[in-house]
Amino acid sequence: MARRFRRLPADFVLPAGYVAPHIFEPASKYEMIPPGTVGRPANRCEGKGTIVKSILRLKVNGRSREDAVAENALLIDYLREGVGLTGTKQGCDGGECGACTVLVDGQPRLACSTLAHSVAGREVETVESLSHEGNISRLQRAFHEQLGAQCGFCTPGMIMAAEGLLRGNPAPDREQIRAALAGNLCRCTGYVKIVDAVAAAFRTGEAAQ
Amino acid sequence: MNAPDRNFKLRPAANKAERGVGARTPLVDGIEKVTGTARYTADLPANGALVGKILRSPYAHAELLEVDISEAAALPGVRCVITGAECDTPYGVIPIAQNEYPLARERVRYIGEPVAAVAAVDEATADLALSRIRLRVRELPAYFKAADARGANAVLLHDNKQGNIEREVHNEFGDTAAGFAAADLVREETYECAEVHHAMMEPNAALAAWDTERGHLTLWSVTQVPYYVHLTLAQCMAMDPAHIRVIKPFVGGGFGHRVEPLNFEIICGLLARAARGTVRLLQTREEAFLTHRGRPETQIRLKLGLTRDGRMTACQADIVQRGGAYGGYGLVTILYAGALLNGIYDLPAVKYDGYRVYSNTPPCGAMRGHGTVNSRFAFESLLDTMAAELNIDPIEIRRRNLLRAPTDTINGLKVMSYGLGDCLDWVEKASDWKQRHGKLGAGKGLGMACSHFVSGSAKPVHFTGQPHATIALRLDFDGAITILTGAADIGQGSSTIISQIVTEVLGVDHRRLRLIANDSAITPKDNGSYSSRVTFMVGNAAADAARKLKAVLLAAAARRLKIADAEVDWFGEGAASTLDPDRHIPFEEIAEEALVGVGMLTVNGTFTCPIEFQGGKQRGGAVGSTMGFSYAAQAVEVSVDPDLGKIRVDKVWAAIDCGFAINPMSVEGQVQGAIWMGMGQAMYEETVYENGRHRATNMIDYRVPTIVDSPEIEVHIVESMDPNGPFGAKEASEGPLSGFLSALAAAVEDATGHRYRMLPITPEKIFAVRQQQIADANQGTAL
Amino acid sequence: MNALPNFQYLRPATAADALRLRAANPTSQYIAGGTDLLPNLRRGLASPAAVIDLGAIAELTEIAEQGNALRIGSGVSLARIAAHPAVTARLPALAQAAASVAGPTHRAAATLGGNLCLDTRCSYYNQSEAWRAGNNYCMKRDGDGCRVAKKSKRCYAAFSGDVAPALIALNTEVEILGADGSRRQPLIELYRDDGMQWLTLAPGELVVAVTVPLDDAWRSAYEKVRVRGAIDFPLAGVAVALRREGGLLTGLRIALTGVSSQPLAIDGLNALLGKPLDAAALDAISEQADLANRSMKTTLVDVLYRRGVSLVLAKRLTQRLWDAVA
Repeated sequence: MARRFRRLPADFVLPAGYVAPHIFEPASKYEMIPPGTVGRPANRCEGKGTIVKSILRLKVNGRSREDAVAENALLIDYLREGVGLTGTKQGCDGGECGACTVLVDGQPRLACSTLAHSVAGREVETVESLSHEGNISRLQRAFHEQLGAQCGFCTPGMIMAAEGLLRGNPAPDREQIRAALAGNLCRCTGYVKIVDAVAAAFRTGEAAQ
Repeated sequence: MNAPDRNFKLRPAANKAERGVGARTPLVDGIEKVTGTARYTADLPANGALVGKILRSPYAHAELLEVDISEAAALPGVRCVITGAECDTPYGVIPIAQNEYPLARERVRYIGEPVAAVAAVDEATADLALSRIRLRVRELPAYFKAADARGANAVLLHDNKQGNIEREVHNEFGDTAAGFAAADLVREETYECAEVHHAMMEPNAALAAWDTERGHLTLWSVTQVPYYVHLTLAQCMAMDPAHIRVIKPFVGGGFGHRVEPLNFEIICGLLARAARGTVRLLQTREEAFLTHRGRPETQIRLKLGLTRDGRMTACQADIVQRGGAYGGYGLVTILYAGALLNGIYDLPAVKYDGYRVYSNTPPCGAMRGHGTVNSRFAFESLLDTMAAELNIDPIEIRRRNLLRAPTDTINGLKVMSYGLGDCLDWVEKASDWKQRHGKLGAGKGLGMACSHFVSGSAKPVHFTGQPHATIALRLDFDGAITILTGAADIGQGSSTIISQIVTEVLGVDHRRLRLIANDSAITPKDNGSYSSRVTFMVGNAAADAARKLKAVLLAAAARRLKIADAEVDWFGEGAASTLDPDRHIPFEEIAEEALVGVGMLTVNGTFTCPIEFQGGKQRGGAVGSTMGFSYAAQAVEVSVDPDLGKIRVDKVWAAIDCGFAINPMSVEGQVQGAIWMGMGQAMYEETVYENGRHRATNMIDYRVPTIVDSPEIEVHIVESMDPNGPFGAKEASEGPLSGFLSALAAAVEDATGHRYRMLPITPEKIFAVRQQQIADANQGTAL
Repeated sequence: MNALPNFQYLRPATAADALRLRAANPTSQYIAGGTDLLPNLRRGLASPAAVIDLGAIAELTEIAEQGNALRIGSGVSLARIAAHPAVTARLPALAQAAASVAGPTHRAAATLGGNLCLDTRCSYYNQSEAWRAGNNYCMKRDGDGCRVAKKSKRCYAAFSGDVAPALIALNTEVEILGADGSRRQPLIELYRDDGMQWLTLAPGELVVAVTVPLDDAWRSAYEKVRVRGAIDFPLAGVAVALRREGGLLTGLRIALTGVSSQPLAIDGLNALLGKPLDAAALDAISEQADLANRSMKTTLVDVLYRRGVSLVLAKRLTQRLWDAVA
């Protein structure tokens, strides 16, 4: 099954005095690299435990759920793969970009750095929950109408972080808006219109009252 | 799939709003984005799909003697393991520079290059399989700096490229020797820019479904160029393109990362075929950094001649780019870096020597402001330095070198519209430049710069004889008009712009329109979203299509009203007789009449750049040719804490000449995003290789600015009404980026007295300069 | 994308139960907010057979004034600490430190205990499995030797918690629950100078709470240097607590983070007491902070910078607090 490739020309020589920059010792260079040296070590892939699933009871977007969920499942994977709520995005390899922000009992949380079972018995809200009876929320409308979303990938996390802010502080100024969204990266907008959108949303809220 | 096919209820105020050109229209696919219903590639239903994973080289440069997959392939749950043996056809976006394989063959040339891939029933099994693959290699000397790769005895990365030079460019337009001789002041400086990466928010992902019975492949991917991906799949998989379908779902940004076919997309297709099923390949953030295609590390030696009153006489640039391990867009980047020294100022002579060098680092490619950004940083920086020497204000010196449209540049580029002067005027006024530049006191500074960019390359990558852009409009029994486009909306809003243009020309209610994009089985071919070509080219095609459909509808209305075409008064949602306004019919009836005898109507609109815009005849003349340049000027205000080395950007004022703003809100958003991305490059972002191993492959060490680091950016739109752009429009989203770099350096100089010529201007660099300044001052006192 | 290792999830309701579970599962790990641990697990930096979630232990989430001290449970979130009236009014260094960790969403989940026990960081360690494999790992995980200092027999990964230096400057005691019951010790003694074993906790021991004196004669401040205004770990962080009586400096404690494998308390400051804070005193502070500094190439940012700005900050904060009393 091994596949061989054509070598360099037979007369190829390394330049005199050349020292390979790689940190593997020269002795190993012509040796077969043992399994596991490249990629995840073999012993770790099989896991030290066995996959354990248990029942997770919680509320997602206002509905009570009971699901058999792997004990090592992240909240984001449960929401996306288990519940099918793909609005919550994975933008980094863990905890660096904020795209996965959801609300847990009304507080912003990074779904990529939260174990699903750790929110048992609590209420999780994702971007899909904000529309009410077919009407999009004031924040969603503001992000839409003020161009707070360009590519839209950071938008669900951005909106959920802003939603968390507005619930605790109904009339934030621009500095407070920036502070509340400090963990959410966007690569399209330069953030100006995101701040505009949150500010517009709270003004819309005012008008409605 | 990605079409905005829902009729959302608008508030009364928005309902009244104009949706044609010039309107601040929200994105036509914006509701999906804010509600979380937009499906990006990783969100597509993939029940039962196999999990694809890629094994990447841990070696920077090595002869690949053997890839032993026997143990991995034998694991239960592994459906297939593939290696470079799976595809022996190289690919690359530029037809004459294809030297990359989806999976390495014979050699690996950078750490992170794909070597093998697996498809397995789940992620754990795929991981396990990767760990069981054995590589046998013979390491080769590796080069991580352009200078090392160009060394006399350096091993060649690619046998046909002597000196590891991928592309050398030497040209001279005008007489530089005479120009420098005529100058009163000649200065030469060196500038260096670190390599940067796009860091679009959506990580890479692809989904491939192989239909074994028919031998058909369907691929969903995050691409900006579905057409090139389609061609590349056919080439690398040795398939008839007719058997391939490429679909671009919603895409979370690109900025150039996705303007060429990428290895993971092809690997996903190869895996699906080998596994005879559906494979989903989700990439990590780290893998996006390794796939790279960013802006190369660049050294620029720049020489400029000025007369006493600040007029430019000649420019000479020597530019070296560390291009990474494969060709990609590299030759275009090095060509643009020189050609686009032109087209912004009245510059009578330019000599350019460019070197694109292969290195054992991930391949560079196109990134927002392709080719121009680092050159512009150097040019604007040196212009500032020399202006100070001549005691001329930075804005004033630029004013003295403005072009007058229409004109041809020395390298044959056509400038048909030119609003840079108005941009300068606004920036000067808005920033209160005259009162504040040089007068803000210690630790505060104001700087400015100008920049420009093409509205699409007038020369296509493939010479097919086809139009540069095609749009189809479809009308059927329901009276709905469906816009079919291959233009890839990756967040920049191209679908919205197209919809606005069609709305404007037809005059119909915008809710009658639907837009379906990027499904090769349905929509017309489009070259893709790169070089800011879409608004200009596809926009013109959309206007053409709409005019053609309107003519058909007008004729139908005339038939139904039994009047001559010329007597039809068209008002979009209906038509009337000009002779008798009481005789009028609604759109539904016009549509019904139009379909009589022919059935469903499809009209094509196209756009082709006339040959006279495709560059001059002289060598190098076609490079950078475009039908319209955008122009931008910006002023940047900063506060500097020199003891901690920290810069805070307090405010940016930017003016953009985008010809005409089809969507002013969108233009503002693009300009703000571009300037902000320039800020990232200017202040924080850089790739870091240690022996070829990228140490910053995450969003903590690769520092994309956060919202608290980011300034308010005020945007002013200048409308120079380009004679060839759709409704006068040109590009708006790449040009403003490159001005920021030098404007920031100027502002920091205004605040601290030191001009930085290396990017990014990091806290550690400012701190080091401060320490030196203190030491020098102490030295002075001691003496 | 990066699958977590398979583990069992345990969720005790009391600290005592947590200890029992920990003892019964030798390769288990405590988890609180998870904002640091889970990204690390995704990168293969640990592979526990069980994780013990401390989030349901009510006794760890209390903040209470006890006489002239504030007792803060280790399960209290950083967001709550940063907003607590007693903390903002009387322990500004702690409020500033808690508010400067990562981003607001992290702080809503991250806990005091998690930040105090934060894994040390190094750019050769906080990398994916494939990355570290290609670099032949390192002694902190799976390999031998140190990638920062080639011949070193020890690990130099840097402690990067923001809260510890603030609490150390505020003269805090930490309460630890172990198999033999509860004990209290100065917080500084929780740490040691070893990137691999940076905590002095015995296996299974749990940080339960901290007790911070509420002494309004002391003024305090914390500031960190990082490239961006959010998300980033400290390249250097400095906490200062100062007491001024009239024109004399009568108390001064300075602690650093990010510049060693442990948070550092600056020695040799007592000599400055009983005198005014003048330029010579500031120079002495700078000198002492420089002596203590152990910055190594664990970050992509230059060592000289991290060392230099920690001195700038130490002087700047001290001066600021001194001036504020006047």
